[in-house]
Amino acid sequence: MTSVRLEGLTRTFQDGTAAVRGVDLEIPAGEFFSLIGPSGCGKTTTLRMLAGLERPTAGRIWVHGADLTRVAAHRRPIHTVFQQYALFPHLSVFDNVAFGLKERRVPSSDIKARVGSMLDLVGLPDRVTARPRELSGGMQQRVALARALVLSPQVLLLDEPLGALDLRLRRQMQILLKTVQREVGITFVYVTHDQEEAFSMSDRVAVMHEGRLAQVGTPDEVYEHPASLFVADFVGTSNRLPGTVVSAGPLAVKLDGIGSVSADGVPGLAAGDACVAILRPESVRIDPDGQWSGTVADRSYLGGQTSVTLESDGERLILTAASRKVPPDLTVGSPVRAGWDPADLWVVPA
Amino acid sequence: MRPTRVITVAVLGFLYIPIGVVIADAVDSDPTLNSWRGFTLHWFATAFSDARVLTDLRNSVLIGLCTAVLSAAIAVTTALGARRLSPRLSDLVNATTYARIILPEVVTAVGLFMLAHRVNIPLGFGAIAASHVVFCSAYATIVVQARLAALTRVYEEAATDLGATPWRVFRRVTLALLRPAIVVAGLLSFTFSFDDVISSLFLGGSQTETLPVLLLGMVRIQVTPEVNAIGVGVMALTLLLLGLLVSASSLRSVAGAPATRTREGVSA
Repeated sequence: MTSVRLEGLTRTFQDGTAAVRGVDLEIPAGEFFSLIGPSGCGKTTTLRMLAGLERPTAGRIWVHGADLTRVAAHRRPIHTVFQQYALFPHLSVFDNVAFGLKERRVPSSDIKARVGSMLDLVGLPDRVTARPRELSGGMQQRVALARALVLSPQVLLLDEPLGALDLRLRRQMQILLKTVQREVGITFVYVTHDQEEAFSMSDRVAVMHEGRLAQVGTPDEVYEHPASLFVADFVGTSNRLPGTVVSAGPLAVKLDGIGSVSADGVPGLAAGDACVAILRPESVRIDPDGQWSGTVADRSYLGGQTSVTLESDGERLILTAASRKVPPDLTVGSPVRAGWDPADLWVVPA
Repeated sequence: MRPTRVITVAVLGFLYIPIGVVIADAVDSDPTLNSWRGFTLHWFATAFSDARVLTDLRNSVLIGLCTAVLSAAIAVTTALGARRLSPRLSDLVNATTYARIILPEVVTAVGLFMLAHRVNIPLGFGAIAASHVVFCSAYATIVVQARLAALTRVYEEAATDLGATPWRVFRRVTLALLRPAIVVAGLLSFTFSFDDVISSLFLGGSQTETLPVLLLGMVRIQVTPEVNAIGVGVMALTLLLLGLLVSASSLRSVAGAPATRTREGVSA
């Protein structure tokens, strides 16, 4: 069943800037879906339109079959976990979580039970009387999650909820979010600029760029088969090998300074088009018979992995490999040959 | 003593010796106040059993309360209204607020007096309260606006998102978060109203008199020990309110800080 359907959703601000331009999207029920993109790409505006806090200039919003485009925010079966938690400072943890239930005139005995079980779920059963400011950032985030989830929304929106937390806490919260989502089975729409965070949690992601959806797919589709150079760069480090399309079917490209290879790529490329072959750093390996020769320009130890930057006539090639597999004599300035399997290339329009 | 010290002591003396003299005279047994003849609370007893003093005290307190409530209400509605306006219009609204503080009180008092005369509004209790509201509400508005500016919209958005109607958002979130500022604005308005002379004098008419106006009338004839006792009483009440004000503004920090000041946790 479709949980969220957006049709041509558009938002133009009063000063004429278009934050969101014609977004079409379907999210199945129970999916953990992430909207990712650089700041200013329109992801938060899209989320706010879903919540009803921002009015679309054009387009429609459907949730579980109902047209919510003109429905007021407080009547939508959609709740939000806000970026800075937005816990009510004058209310206790209990009253924060109970806020929406009271608005719904739920009997107070029910409120007690539901708030209690929700605080259990997020792991904060013993802090009901505390004020938000007495809690750490991670705890506040849990309260914010409980406050929205206790209302059993059809869709839960999360607007960069982990942005203010340190790395270790983020990992904990990511695991918590995933566990909770599986447990409650509610559709999660998650906004973040951190693609790693999105990849680790989501069933599917949408990459937004300048108000449009650049690509929608599973994390591995987006990472391995990006629809454009923008997507390729946004979701990870990529080596760009420029060239020209030689034939469209089966796809063959001539890469500058390397030669002709057959490779996979986005559909719609025609012979003669300028193109770029994307090569992920982990697909590059040190190989005495490799296609590429140059010298080592930089070597960075990243813990489990080591990143090596190779250089040849101003062209750069980045390689990452398990640190133990990188020969110790590969020092800055030493000559090196590298290669890759042409099956790891992915061709996108230039 | 160094010259700077001498100046400091002289200035402090200039400011506080008159107050000390008032207190001393209020408890001096000598009815002519020419010498010290021992401590007494007799003058307080006579002053505050005088029917006129009591009536005027009641007038002052009631007018102060009305002024406080009306000013706070005007402050909240003005602050919330101005927030919805375009920057230019809200500047205009702010200008009318500041004008009520900057304009000499005697000007607004005379203006209201003429207006009341022209459209036949009776002078007295209501007219005094209205004239106090004119300037007290301006101070109250500034207090409430300052608090509102520090609150981000995100609390109201969160409440809306959780299903609260606009009215409920106002009741449960906006008003609750503004409460400390409203208390401060009310206390401030009461204090200003309670010791006002000019507007009360112009708009009291022949029937209604407030305590400060009575005092002014009494000292014109003769400074009696009772005048000093009333002065000390007024001072005590004002200090009490000041104390409340200070504790109310520390209440402000308890009731919540803007979202940006949340603590970032290290452990969960």
